[in-house]
Amino acid sequence: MSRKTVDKVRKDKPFHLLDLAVYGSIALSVIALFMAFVFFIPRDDIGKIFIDLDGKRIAEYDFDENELTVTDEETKIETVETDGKITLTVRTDDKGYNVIEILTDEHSVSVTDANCSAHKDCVYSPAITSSKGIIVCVPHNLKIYGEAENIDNPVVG
Amino acid sequence: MIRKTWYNARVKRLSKILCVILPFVAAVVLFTACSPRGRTAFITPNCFNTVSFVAAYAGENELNAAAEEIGAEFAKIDNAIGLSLNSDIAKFNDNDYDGAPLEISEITYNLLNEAKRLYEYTGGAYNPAVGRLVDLWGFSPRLNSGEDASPALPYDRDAKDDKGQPVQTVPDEKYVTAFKSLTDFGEVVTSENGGRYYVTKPSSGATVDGVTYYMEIDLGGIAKGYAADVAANILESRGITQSYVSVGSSSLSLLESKNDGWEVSLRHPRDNSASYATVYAENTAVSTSGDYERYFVQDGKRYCHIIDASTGNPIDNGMTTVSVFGRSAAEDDALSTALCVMGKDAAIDFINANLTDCRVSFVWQNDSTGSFEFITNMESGYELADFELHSSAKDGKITYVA
Repeated sequence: MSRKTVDKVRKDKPFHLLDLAVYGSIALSVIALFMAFVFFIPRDDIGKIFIDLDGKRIAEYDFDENELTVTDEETKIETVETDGKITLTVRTDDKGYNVIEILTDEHSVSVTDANCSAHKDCVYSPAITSSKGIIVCVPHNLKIYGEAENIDNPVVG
Repeated sequence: MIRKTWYNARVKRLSKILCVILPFVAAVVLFTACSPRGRTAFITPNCFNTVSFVAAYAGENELNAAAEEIGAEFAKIDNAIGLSLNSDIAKFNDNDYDGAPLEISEITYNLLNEAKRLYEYTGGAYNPAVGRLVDLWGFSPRLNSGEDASPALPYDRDAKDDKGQPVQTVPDEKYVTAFKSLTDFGEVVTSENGGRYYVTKPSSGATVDGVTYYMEIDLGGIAKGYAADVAANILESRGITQSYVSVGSSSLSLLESKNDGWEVSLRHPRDNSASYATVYAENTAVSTSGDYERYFVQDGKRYCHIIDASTGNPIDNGMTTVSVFGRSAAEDDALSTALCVMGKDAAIDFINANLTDCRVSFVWQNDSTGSFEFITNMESGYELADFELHSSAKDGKITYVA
């Protein structure tokens, strides 16, 4: 058979079974890669929030499970839960305190009050709404931060 | 026979296709599986009264080791120019200092020389010699370290809020006038002799109510940027190239990004949970200054921590936030502060004359309308989420559009 004939047959039957198998495998690969990126690449949504005092974990909150865990019973933490909001008052020492507000539906955490210094930088810090967020109260050595997974979007200011 | 030949031709063609496609798919899958994930590591100890971290696409142990080395360098910088009583700057600021050349570390010497260069470059808009005024207005670390802030100096106030917490208030004008005379940073002299470094403080003082005060310097306007530069060098030397370092969120040193630039969010000056713009950048540095970082409000007026040495008062010119991308983080740090001090028109003139190689943006609050205006020399590479653009840019120069 001449080359011309082969080309003619190929032209007449563009979707032969083997062709379809190759096209199908490529499509499956693309779909698999897409799914991998969607489900396995870390997202920026805040999943968990951690609260450390003096370098020691004292509490954490899981937004997906809506579960607050106080991991250090020695630190005095007062908890008030209302609809969509958890307010934690952390007693950092005999006199010091920081009030932490967790908005469970909005996936947001902020410090709303403290007696750390006149500036209260922690109170004026941006609310943590993504995994890259962090609030630090230097005078009280209190650190609140989310799971750091997506680092591509730093904040300056 | 025909079918067989046709079949062989088709198999040959499919083999070629598969030879191209399958290695590509395998490479993509392997790359996805093996690429290090993005992670962060905090830099300890906390230096400069703030928190810092490195972020990188790197192995966990690799990043932690880098963060540890950076922490050690930060501690050296903090010991030289920071809060401790034994730091070079604390010794310089000691009111009992007799004016003799004071031996300082190489770090302090380099930072002072860079500060002196930027002081000249910005026509005094960046001025580290406002230390005494910063203290007077209540923004110095002495009053904000979390320790007992009871009045210790004659000009300290003892105001408290209804909860008994100390609050900042406007100081007595006689101190503002006196301390304004202590801000000639050009009078600070640095010298080197046989590998040893010295600084000499101006001997002239200002007397109020029988007490004489001398110049104090505050290198806070450059220190965090300098630290970010140091950290970036360490990351590069360790081969952690897809990374950046954030020092107190006000200075970033950005190395390579994984994609087309890091998406740097510029913090909104009036909504601390939001950003007003995103700038795409890599292999550069950025520093931001603004009137929202530390401030107090008295009688409805905002008093921020950026002090204008020419008036002795916090800036009151509508500049709410300034970001400078380019050059080093230390220089960007000083420049962003200087542009805040200059005010809108002088800042635009300065940018057009000197900073066309940088990407500069700022938000200015129009006093007459109360509206916020975004002004930038960037032609592209950013997205504005809030505020109206009030400028056009060409070749790094700004034309203000009312």
